[in-house]
Amino acid sequence: MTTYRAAVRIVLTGALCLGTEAAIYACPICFQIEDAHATSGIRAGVGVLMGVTGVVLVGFARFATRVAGRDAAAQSQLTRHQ
Amino acid sequence: MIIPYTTDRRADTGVTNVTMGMWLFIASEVMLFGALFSAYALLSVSAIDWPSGRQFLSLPLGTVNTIVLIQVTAVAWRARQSSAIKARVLLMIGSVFALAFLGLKSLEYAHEFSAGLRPATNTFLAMYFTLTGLHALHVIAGIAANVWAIAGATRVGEAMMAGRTRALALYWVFVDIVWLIIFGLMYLL
Repeated sequence: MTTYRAAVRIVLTGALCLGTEAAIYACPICFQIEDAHATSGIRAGVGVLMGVTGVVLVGFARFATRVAGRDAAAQSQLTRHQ
Repeated sequence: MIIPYTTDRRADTGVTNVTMGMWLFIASEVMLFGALFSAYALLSVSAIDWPSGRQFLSLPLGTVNTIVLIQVTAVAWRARQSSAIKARVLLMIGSVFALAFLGLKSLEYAHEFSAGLRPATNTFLAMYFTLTGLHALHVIAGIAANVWAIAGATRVGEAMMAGRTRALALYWVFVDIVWLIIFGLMYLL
């Protein structure tokens, strides 16, 4: 049964590859075509999204360090009073 | 139940919970618009032929709208340093400017629709209507928030009104920055 299923999968995958050959080769991301428009577009999109995410994360990190700094200052003030 | 630190600054964060909440909201909004700007970058760079906004959009109307929206932010920013009564008047003026922005935007949309320019016309216009439409929804939300703050000004007292005005000023600055990016990308490039 397992061998039969594997054979069916191979045949179907082969048929799919033969039938959609042009469509598969049209994907510049999969085939790492560096100078394709789609590749540049994906790079630009990912770059912008990473930039925006980075700015937001830096904001959160700054806030976390600010809270930590205020906490440390409050702790030292408390120790001095005691 | 009374929500703590609505008027007093928290010792650990250094801001009131109202301002803190607004900053968190703005962070989530930055991610929302960031995703859309990322989609714009992906689509425009991927396209073999990407049209210039000047082909379809009215630069004079866009410029006037930019000036109008900057007035909204300037008025809201001034309101944060004013007394509750003055802040109320300033927020009313700001809301009128925001309504003028929406009126001009509607006029622009009407011109575009009458010229047969629709979101389905091309990818550039699809992005234009998505970005400007979502931005207009934020302007409508800002007007609603202004009206809410104006209505409660006398009831909530000076300190609470100051907190609300500060949060609104932050919100309008964000809405303005988003518009400036949209204006630069869509109208100027």
